[in-house]
Amino acid sequence: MCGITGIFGFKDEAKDSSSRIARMTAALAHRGPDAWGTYTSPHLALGHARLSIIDLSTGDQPMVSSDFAISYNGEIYNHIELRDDLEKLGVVFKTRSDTEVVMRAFQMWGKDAFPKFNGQFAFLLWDKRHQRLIVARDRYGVRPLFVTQWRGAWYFASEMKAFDTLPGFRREYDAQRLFEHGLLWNTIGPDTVYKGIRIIPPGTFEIYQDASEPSRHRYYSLGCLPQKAPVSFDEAQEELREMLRDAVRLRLRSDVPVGMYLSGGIDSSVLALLTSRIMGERFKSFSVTFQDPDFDESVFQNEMVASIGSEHHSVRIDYDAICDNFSDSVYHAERPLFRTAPVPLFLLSRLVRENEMKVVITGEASDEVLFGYDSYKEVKLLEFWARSPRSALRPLLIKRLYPHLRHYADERGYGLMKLYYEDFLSAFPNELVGLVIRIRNNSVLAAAFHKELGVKFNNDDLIEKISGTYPSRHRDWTLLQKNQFLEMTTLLDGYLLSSQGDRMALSHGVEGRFPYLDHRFVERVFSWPDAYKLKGFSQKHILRKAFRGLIPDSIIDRPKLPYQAPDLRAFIRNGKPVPLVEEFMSPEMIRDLGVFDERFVARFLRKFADRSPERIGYRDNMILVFILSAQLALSWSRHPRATKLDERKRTTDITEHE
Amino acid sequence: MLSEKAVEDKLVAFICGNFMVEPGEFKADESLVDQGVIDSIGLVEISGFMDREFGVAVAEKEMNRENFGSLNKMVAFLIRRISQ
Repeated sequence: MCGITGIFGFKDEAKDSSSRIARMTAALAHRGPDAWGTYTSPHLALGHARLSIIDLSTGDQPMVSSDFAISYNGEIYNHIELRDDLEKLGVVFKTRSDTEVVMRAFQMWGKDAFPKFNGQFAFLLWDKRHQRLIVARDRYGVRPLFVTQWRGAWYFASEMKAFDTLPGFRREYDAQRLFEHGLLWNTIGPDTVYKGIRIIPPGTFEIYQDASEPSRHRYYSLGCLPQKAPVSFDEAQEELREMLRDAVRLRLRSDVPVGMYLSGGIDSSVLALLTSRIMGERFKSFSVTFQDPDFDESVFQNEMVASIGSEHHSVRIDYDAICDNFSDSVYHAERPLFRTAPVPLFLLSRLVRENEMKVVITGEASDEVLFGYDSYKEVKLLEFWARSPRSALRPLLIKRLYPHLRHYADERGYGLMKLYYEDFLSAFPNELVGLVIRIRNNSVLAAAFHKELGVKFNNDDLIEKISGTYPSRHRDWTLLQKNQFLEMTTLLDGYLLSSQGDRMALSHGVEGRFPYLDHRFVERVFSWPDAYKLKGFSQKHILRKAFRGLIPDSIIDRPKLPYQAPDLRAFIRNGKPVPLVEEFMSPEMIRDLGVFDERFVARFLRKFADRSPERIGYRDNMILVFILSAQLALSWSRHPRATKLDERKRTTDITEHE
Repeated sequence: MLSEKAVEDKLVAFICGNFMVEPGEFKADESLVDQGVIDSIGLVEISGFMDREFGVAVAEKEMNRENFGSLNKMVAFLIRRISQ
């Protein structure tokens, strides 16, 4: 995995472009510590920090052919098959790398190459003949790519911190977008929380020809691939096993050893089993364990390790580890967080690196694709209840929504939860209901912002904006399929794959690979009946059925526990904020950065002076982590880390004069 | 016997202190959930406060919109229960 940078469309600043692109690339050196290089031509500069995984000897970048130059971050797992296809068409390859496959595929097929790619990628491809820059991202947003226009030129980078190296450039929050991010854990569409910085949306590519706006094209959205008719549940189980097996098989293609993240849940256990069968040899697995037993899953991890016989390593997380590494995690995430769960993954990638590994298979996105999240249960319950709102029996299902939460299970709690969900009944039929609950819970953040920023919560505008992101065919979707689309375009893309995924793994030069995001798998499973995935309240039903007997029953049958780490418990000890919180949420710092309301923050912190954080719910956790991380992220952008590239690792330095 | 005003003041103070809103920032006759003032835990916290502060243990059948659907309804509910 790698870091990529680009500058395009400059005129008078061309003489400086070579050093400028090197500085930008230096800021991304953690993503690609093995080598780096640059390419410059009269109107374009490309940079690349390389993590060498495939074709270690000749895969250096930026890569140049007579017609193209490319800076590419990612893996096309089916590069071997695509290479065969291209060779049959007469294409002659110079390297073994998948980078060259991308370049030649585009040369041969143009934009029709995108649907052929199976993988995760972001790239900048310079088409010399047409003097245009093609900028693209994978289907689900695994690999990042940001763009900003600055003093007459376009700047591109895998991470926004590369922009901080530009003379005079300063990241500033767009307060309304920051609030939107607070409501949804992501901004809607290409805008980021920073003014003037956009992200290339997943499943799209853009074509830049000069300083004017690019043309934008979508090559993929959920549910776009025609599927054959659904099969029986038994046949579907067989299909599921086979599709996952193939998704893992492709993701084991690598010239360096591949390891695996083991959480203790069913998703990673299934992948561990498949990996072990395909690889046929011992591999390394890695886990996070927690000192706080409320979060620890090591019993299940160990059970799976015993079952597959992997060489297992784990990192133990206590409250201090969360506090000590929170700021660094935010440095890499570059955006406000909502939970501390990224921090253990920051430390886990370090552990992987210490064990001389740089590629891991990981289980993200199973919850989205196979209806594992509780939001699916909420949507289902509300839909069922709304058909008979006066029913005394239907709301009883609330007790089964969150069995791990005490206040859902006991009698008193039930009454309150019923009351709570009743408020959402009137929202039916409402295709955004999964998000509406999240939005309403998070809307308290409006009061946290500095009053002069004029942040407004307008439910109708927001709903309209989100509705506008649906592809037109969504009218034929079920409510749960719609919920999947929303989960994948908000939480997955904007948080789990980025702040918690790519940025934490690449903070230590580790590449994550995601079999559940193989688009063939996602599309096929999307077409299956809802009940295959969520039967009653049995989440990921088909996955459990298909792998029963193959992985330990204790893992199949355990109730779903969301992956989380201690938040308030780590940050507030005995009613007192830890020094990091004290410093970054102090009245001086709040005033200095000008984002949040001083009184709100002070009142919020006072809440904990007389009570232990054990009794604090989701929302207070979220508020604290959001404000603290927003303060830290802005602070990091004001005081960027000094980064330098090692000249000895420079493998590419190409200058073309036209 | 607490006056309606005293009950309301205590409840408002609790809501403002715990959910970071100003007294004038939410409507007294609309649902606190609808207004985004509280989430599901918020209802648990308020019912805990009713128990601690006023000795009113809320029964499951009392947990409905008539009693909890707004600040005004909560105050009226408390007054009814305290006077029983």
